[in-house]
Amino acid sequence: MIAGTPDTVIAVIERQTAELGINYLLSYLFFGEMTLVQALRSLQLFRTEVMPRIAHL
Amino acid sequence: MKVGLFDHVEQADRPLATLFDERLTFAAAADEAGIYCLHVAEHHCTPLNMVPVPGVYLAAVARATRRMRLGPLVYLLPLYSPLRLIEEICMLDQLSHGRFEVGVGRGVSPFELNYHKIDHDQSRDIFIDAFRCISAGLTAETFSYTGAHFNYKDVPMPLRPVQQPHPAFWYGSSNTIGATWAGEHGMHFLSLGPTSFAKTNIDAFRSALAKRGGAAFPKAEFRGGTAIGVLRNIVVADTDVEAHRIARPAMTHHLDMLNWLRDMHSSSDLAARLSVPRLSKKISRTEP
Repeated sequence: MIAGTPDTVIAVIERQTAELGINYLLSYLFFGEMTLVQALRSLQLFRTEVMPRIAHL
Repeated sequence: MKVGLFDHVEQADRPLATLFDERLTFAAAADEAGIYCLHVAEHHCTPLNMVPVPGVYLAAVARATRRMRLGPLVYLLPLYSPLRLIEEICMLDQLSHGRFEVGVGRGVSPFELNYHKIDHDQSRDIFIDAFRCISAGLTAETFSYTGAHFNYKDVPMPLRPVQQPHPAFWYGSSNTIGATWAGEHGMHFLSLGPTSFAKTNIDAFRSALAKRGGAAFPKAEFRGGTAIGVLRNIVVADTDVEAHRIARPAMTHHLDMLNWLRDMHSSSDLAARLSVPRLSKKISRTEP
């Protein structure tokens, strides 16, 4: 699991992408006991703060 | 790097109809966010997965989204009639206007196969036969096939997928046997688990893919033409503390669902056959 601020999450994704040599990140954003509101907020931050900064990887 | 979205659609504390509505709202938001594809798992007889007939659910997703691609990860081929599944793939590719991605597999859980009267020992042979059968049938105008498990003769095939010759195949694997097979067949590939575990499978896939010479159905949007990825549960919040406040109970619940059948059958012979590592509830920031 990768949980944290956008900076925290990006740092982990960057490291794992380098280790694995992958070109696709299969995110699992809405799971377990999460509410729709929590999942949508996480997706919003993921979309605006994380996705643009990992697109070049 | 492209970003996809995965879902088991686990049982939760609200009615299933409400959960489906929420997931379709979320799928629309993911579509808007530029997610490449929604991949939906197929599991049976477990609260881990409330969409054990993923094609039905994906038909709803197809009509709730516009750009995002969609597909099962994976159809458990030993549990299907190949002819019926060919028809389903054609329908879903048409309903989604050519956005369907076909994940295929044998079914990793011996318990689930057993409930459906499929012998785990035979499941890989059945899977390979079904895969060959479906691949042939998707492009046939009149379909004939002879295999160890499936036989068809002169079947009229009026349905066609939008994508020609047919949608791409995807494979998800937690072992090197499956990963190698997927590479040999030029599939798009996903693995899971701790990074070192995922790397073993990804490396096996990549090695087999290189020997083959690349993807059977290349995708220009992925570097090298083949999608190669890993599954990660991700929670983003304004602070690390808030992210973990949300993620910890969610992951605990998710792991309870993931291990539900295994724990129920913990003393049975079948349990020893499950090759996926049991994830502990010790939750780190960096590993699933």
